[in-house]
Amino acid sequence: MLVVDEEQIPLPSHLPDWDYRTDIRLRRTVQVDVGALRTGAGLPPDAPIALAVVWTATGSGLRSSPCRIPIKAADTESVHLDVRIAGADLGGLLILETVAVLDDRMPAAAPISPRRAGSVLWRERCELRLQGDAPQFPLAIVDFGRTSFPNDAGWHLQISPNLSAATMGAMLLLINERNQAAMSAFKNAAKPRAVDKAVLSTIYMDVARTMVEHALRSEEFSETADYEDETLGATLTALVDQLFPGISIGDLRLRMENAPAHFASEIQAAVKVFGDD
Amino acid sequence: MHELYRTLEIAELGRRAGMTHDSSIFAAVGGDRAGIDDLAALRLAVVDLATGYGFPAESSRDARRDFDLRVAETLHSGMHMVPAEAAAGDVWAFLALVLLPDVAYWRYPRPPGDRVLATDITRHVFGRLWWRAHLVYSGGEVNPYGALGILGEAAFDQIYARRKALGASPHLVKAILRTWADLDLGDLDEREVLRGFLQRLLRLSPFVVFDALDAETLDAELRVVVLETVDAVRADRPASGRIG
Amino acid sequence: MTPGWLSQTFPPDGASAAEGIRNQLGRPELDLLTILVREAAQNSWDARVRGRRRPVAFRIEFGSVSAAHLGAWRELLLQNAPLDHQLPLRGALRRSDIRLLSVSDRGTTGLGGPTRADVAQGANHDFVSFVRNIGEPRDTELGGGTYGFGKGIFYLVSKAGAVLLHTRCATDEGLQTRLIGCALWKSYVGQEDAEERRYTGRHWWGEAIDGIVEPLIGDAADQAAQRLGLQPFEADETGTTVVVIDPMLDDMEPTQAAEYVAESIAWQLWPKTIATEERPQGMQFAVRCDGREVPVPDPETTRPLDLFVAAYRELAAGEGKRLECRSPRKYLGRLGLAKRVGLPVPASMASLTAGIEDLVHHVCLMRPAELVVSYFRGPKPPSELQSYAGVFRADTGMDEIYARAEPPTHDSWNPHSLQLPESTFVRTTFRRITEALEGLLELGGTARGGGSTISLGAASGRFASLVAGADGLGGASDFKPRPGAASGGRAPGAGGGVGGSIDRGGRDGSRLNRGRIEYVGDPYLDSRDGATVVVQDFRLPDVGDHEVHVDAGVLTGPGTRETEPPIGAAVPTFVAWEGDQGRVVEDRVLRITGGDGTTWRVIVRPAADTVTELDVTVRSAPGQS
Repeated sequence: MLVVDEEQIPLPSHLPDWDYRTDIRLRRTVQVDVGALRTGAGLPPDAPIALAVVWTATGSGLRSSPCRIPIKAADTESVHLDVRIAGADLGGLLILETVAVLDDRMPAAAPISPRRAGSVLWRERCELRLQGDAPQFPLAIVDFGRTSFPNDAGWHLQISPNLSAATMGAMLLLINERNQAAMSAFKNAAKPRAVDKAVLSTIYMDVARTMVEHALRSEEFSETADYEDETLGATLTALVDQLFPGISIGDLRLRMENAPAHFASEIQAAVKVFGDD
Repeated sequence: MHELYRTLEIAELGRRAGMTHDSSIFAAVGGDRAGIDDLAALRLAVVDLATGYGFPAESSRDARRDFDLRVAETLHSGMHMVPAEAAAGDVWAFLALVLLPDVAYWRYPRPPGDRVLATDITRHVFGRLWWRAHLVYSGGEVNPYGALGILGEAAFDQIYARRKALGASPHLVKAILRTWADLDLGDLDEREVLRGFLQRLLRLSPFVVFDALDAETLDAELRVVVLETVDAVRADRPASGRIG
Repeated sequence: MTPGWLSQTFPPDGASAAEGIRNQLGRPELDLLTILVREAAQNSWDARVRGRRRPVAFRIEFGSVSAAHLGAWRELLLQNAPLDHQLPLRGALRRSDIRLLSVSDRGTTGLGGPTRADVAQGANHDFVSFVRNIGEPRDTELGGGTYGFGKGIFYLVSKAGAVLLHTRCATDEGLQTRLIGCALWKSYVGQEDAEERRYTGRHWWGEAIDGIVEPLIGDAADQAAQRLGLQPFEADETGTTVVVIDPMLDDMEPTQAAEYVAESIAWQLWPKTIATEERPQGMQFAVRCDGREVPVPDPETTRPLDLFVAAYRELAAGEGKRLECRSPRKYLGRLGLAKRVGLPVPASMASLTAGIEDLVHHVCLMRPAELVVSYFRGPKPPSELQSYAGVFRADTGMDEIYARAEPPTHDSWNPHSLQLPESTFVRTTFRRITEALEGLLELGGTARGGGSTISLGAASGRFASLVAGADGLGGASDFKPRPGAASGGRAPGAGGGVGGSIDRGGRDGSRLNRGRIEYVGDPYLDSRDGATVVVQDFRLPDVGDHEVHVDAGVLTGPGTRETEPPIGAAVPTFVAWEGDQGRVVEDRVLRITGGDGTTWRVIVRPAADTVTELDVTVRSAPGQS
């Protein structure tokens, strides 16, 4: 359970709007069958066991254990874990592990039974995303049924009119969880099937088109505009340059306005839709 | 900017030092932008330290080593930064390129980019030192940064190279340093033993959760591993070395 | 003289019929109780005594006429009462339980001024505009209404069509108590002295003087009020109580209705309760039902209203976003926003009336008078755990325009009821609010994954060329996992000193001549010649000749293999391949024909105290298909 404002909620997969001033407070109750743990690992009945929570934060690169509780019971014990993790130590993905470990060195009973202190007897892992996992393109899977987007849409590119905003915060490709084809394509993106490739290529092309047209429709988008690195303006400039090298923005605008259908095909060609990847 | 600074004289770099820069970003969401006064004070403190170790003239290896230890402490205690902020490369790039370019380029003349740009914080001229201090810092001790001196830079880099498995946990790093400090190596090669020790810890990491142990139990376990290492290294030496 | 009822006849030059007045509120979207709460409270606020220390106290009380007062009610209020078909009051009074709904305010001016509509003395017309004239413009600057339709609601809520008005106000002769009954039902033709006359359907109870009903005044009023069991005024107190006879509660039990009203006060009137610089004392609200206090939720501490309060505070602090219309140029007002992470709050009846289900993604619209107009629904946040609230307060310069966009119930802004360019201002307001909300969601870093747990790394990488110039997340760039280090189908061995696992992916990438392999179950520990070994069962589904290799290594982290063992440390070693019928192959490379369904085993001796990982690969033998 995640504790937000003294209220307990089941651990979500991500915590929106986290910043490092937000400490993370977590509670859970674990039923530990110590007897079974010992027997299962081939340990003697007096083997000391401790339960601990260990977190790792990918953003700060830190790991720590805020809570370790030696278990005294011989058979089953109910352990309440209540930890508070300083937000200042965190970032990225917070990986939380609840582990039961051998709490001291044991002379080996059997060749395969644990003897080193800290040997894991049981572990359970969960994750809480606090910040992006450094995606190169900001993506999110969302159930469109819970948004204002049409339920049956496949994707939506959110893009800010503010070209001076940082790209990572100003653009977001939302994939509709309800759309099977789009979902599978994104899920399988590492090893896409033929159909996934086609879907990905289509979405890629559409995103490129949306970005290019968004840029061209923006009055402030021009060759002379000087955008800071990593801003949306810089990203769009780079993209337009990459897709239409050597063609002026004014020219592109005219093409988009006068022959929108042809322009759409030009974008398809530029991104090599359904081409090799 | 880095390309330009690589070729400038240190004195020229000193003149270019500034308190603000248009692209300076101080930390992510929620981060406080450091005040100009604080930055000025930090620059003064670091330049002062460096001067003590020969800056801006060329310096010896030992001097740079000592400078590192002192500056690690200064940065960690003086910058009031939290890990979430210190994990961001921007802060370190700002420090090396804007606030303290002269010192940065004095410490690493003609450095490769990651020393100043903080694309890899574990190699950054200042960033790695802050983190080194952070990992060993023991608030309750008389000398909270005492453990900084236990391992030299190259040795510490060995822990850093295994950052994810071993170097992520201050609890474990401190225990490694304690174990190391208590070890009598005799005539064994320090580097070789440390390497074996860390490699063995790494092997255990998939099924041993070091962080779940209290300091005392952890130390005992590490002691076992380091002794295994010492035995193995000793056994590995040519027979002639063992006689006499 | 005995007070009694007098019904209004149509004068020769005409007058409003009761039906017309009753319909002035139009066909409201809101239910009558909610409208009553909103209108009455706004009236009370407009009637506050300026420069006074004491706050405005507003109370709604559900109750019945007590047995002790029943006689007086019938005696006083049945006097000359209109017939049943003219006004349903008699029936209500004859019942053993006469239900009442009293709406009272204190710390307000009371209904002062002359008691007759044709007297033009002074600037105060409160009494007349409440009792006599309906539809008279408000004189309060930046008041809540633009029309005086508000009080019509009292009659609509009364099933008897009748209310008692008990007020105490300042007059030239000092404080004065006034008591009058008012009824509004429907026009009818009646008999007066055997002659048919048309009646407007409006009736008053009081002292008839010159054919006009005047309120009971002073001692007479106090005495009648006491006989009727109405709450008396303190000596130095001013204010008004409107007693609605036989209230309509929308089929709710009185306690239920009282709770609903208490909640509605919170949802509809919360801005009034908050103290600000211009309003050192917020309005005080209380609800009672049959003598018991029904708590009114405190918006500052009640979810999700506290989120609106937070947004409001931003405005009160002079912050918030200025919204402007660019063409024609006009400053519209300011928008404060607040967001929070937390569980959605279950909807209540009153929140549903306000248009808010469990998830808050709304902006409360108000004019400078700070009466809630409505809750504008913004885009839904990408996560159920995220909610936001906003408060838009119109600029003083826009008050009149927004007010004219409101229906008589003041509960929406309709641009189509305005002319150009004013309709543009209202439309643009909604557009600007929506834009600001989109910005709010964007800034919150919704890029941080939705509810799904699938890994987007690969997909993101495919799209990376579209953002070639931009870096990943700066803060995490140093520590992000290396590509390919993500853990695949590995299953580290259980706890002990040894373990085994298998890599199902390929690490050498030469896909072209790579054969298929079918694992049978997970790797397991077994023993051979008294030593512990790791075993993996597998089959080769493809027909043809194959070379099978095994690569055993030590895991040093999730997905990371040791590249070089520590000095003097054991490494996993290959033992043998085992086929069926006891066939054992001790060569490192197994050369066999596949597709026959044989289950093979690879046997590896693990390194002690490690997690050993097996990677079995198959290649079609050269020259074979």
